Amino acid sequence: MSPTSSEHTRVEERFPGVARAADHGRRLREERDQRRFARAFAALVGILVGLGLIFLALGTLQGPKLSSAQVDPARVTEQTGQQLRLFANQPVDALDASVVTVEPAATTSVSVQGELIVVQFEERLRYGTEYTVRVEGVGAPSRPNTSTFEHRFTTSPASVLYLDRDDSGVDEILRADIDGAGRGEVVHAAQGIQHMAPIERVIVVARDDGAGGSVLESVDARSGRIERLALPDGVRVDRLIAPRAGTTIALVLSPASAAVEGESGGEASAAATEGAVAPRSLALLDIGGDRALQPLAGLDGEPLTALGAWFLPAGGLLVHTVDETLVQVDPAAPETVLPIGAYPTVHGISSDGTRVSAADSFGGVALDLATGEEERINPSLVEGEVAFGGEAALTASGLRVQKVAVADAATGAFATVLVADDGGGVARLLARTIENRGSLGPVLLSPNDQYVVVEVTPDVEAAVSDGRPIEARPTSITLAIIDVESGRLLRTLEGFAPVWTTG
Amino acid sequence: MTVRLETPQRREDHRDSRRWGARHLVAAGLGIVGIIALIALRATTAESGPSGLPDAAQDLLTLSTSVVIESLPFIVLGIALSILVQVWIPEAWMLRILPMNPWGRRAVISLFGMFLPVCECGNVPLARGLVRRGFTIPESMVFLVAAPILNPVTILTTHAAFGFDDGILVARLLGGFLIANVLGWLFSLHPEPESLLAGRFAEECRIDDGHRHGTRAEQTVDLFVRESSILMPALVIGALIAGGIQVIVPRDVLVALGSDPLFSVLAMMALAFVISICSNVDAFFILPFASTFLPGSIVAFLVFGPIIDIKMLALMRTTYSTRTLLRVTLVVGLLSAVLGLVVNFVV
Repeated sequence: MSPTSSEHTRVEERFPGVARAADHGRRLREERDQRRFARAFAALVGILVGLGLIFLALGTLQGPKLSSAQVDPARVTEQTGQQLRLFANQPVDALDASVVTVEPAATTSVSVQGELIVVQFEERLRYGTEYTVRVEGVGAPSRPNTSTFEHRFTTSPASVLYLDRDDSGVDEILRADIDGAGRGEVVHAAQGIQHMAPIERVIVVARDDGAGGSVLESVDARSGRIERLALPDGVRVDRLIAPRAGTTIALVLSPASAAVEGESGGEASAAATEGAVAPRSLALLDIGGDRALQPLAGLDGEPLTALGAWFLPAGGLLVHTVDETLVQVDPAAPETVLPIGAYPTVHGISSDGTRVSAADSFGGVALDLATGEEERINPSLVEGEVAFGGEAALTASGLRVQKVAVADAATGAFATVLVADDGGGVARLLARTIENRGSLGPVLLSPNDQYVVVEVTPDVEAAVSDGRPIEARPTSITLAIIDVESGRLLRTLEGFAPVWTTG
Repeated sequence: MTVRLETPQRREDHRDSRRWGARHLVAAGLGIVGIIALIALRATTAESGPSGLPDAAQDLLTLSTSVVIESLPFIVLGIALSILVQVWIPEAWMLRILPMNPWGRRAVISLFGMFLPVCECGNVPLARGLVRRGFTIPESMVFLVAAPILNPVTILTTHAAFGFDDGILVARLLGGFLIANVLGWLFSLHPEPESLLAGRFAEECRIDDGHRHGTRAEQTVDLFVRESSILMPALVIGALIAGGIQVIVPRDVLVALGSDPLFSVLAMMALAFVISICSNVDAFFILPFASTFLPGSIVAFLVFGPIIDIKMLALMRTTYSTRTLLRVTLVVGLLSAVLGLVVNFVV
């Protein structure tokens, strides 16, 4: 058993020498502990100072660093002017475009705002491609060292939204990737789908109302939630036109009783003029706003009637009116209608929105919207044969993807084929039907001109109509998706009415 | 049957309590009026265009108001959580979960802030309370240093301000934990822990005990008024200083200072020391500087400020000796600077 403190005290009282020794020992222990604490404190301070100096030296030798990067991998394939935003860890000096390299090559511009470097793509990028953007010579104000920023990203793969009808009357909207197999994913199914147009996160769908008219719905592709959009009673939707960005769609409307496009009796000249709207009248509907139908008026104050309409990338709406004039309307100020020209046929706008593909009695024409200059579209030879031009889709680079009619050397009959024509005198064949028995329908280039999708009826003689009152198609209608550059057929899908999207 | 007697001391406590409550009520009212006046002034001057206040004053108002608006919801949340913990959750359970191992014990104590989400000024009385309950003095330091950083409100506001950009949030949390435990370890080696303490605790902390009287509802109201009256003026003043610095100091100077690996860290630590802003809102305060200063300097600000600033030194002086505080300041300053330099190098 060890002695207690009181026993210690008694011992120290009886033996002063022991007390002094104990006191001395205690002091020594305290001094030792004090020294130990002081040493630990000094060592800690020394270590921290040393570490600080090391990292200060290392930091001083460094240039700015890339903290994070932002890019929309889908939009960058669909629109020009999309940005890669590189956030540095500190404000950086101004840069010029020569320090930016992109692999695979793409035209860019660069600007700097504080610690943000904005690399803007002046062209649409390719689908499903890994891009490497390198910015060299990035320096900070008042600092000698520079560094190189590098960022890799992969653009979204392309996919197609299309409509597949069933004999039972239940139609399906499907999404299919370019690289996939099978029919693709069913996005929405409903009775009697007439038209569909994706806009932002929803798909606007026009369906049969059972009385010759249309029901308009907004379908949330993710949740499947369906919302009814207001349309006047007894109205039929002839066209749905969606912009690449924004929430306002354009609709071409007719009274339900009016003759359908393509039927005998004409289009706008249909006798039926009763109802809430004039035949083929154009209206706007803001899905993200008040969702109220906004009819458009022409220069004469009468309802603006349209054979077709296209949203321009800058936001304007190009309208091919029923009286065959081409006008431009600003959806934000629709009372301003700008006449552009008169063309019996308008095929569409180029993917960059700068030119219009049209046709008059002399043949095809490409109209520059900025200058008003027209360029004749003269088809080049196809496999050595003279070709007669049809619908032409214009790419941003000047290439034309065009349906042309060529004579079959064996039979002497004309066949419709799809070609890529750079105007150099010889066109590349992109698609033709087996033994020229089929026909080619509407042609749609992807927003970046990488792919083209065309509706194909494989055998015209054997074709059977699906019998739908609106947008009738042969039951054998097929979509062919082709790589424009290589001419390779990538996929075929049973359906029609394709719209390009990203996966 | 028990009979509660009202002693003269208790009556005095109640009178003190009422006086405190009235003072805080007035302060809270002034703070709220100040915020409303600031927003109203900004709204008025925005409409008046160039003919209104001078550009510099308009910039000051815009920058200051943005800090206030961004941080106000989080301040209210912080106060609500603080009340929840201090009034509605029993304190005793915390003592049961501490391990016996000194390192483990300090590590757990450094996470106490997760359950006591108040800013650093509220932690001083709590740290003193821990010493009274038998915690060692180094352990009270661990809590005092870590709690303002490692608490949900600070984490929430820091994340709201910076997200996970540049590792600022992670560096702040790890830095706070590291500094607290290094300090705890260092002072656990001290042979005479009692000598680390000041002679007496400060008067500011005494009111905390006085407010423990009354029902929980009364305590809730009282704490809300008290916390609001402390935080709101600090917020407004901090916002004005933040805006003022950006208006007064030329951007070129700020950019040049902010781009330097060493001076950016030192400048931010000096700023944190001077402005003494609450850790619950300091992330919003420093956010406007994030575009001109290196991330490491922001981290140094966010780590150093909640532990060492003018206000905290004044409060801690009531509990710890001057010599202790000098040592703490030196170690925390060096650790914060090293942390900032490491972040600048790595991020």
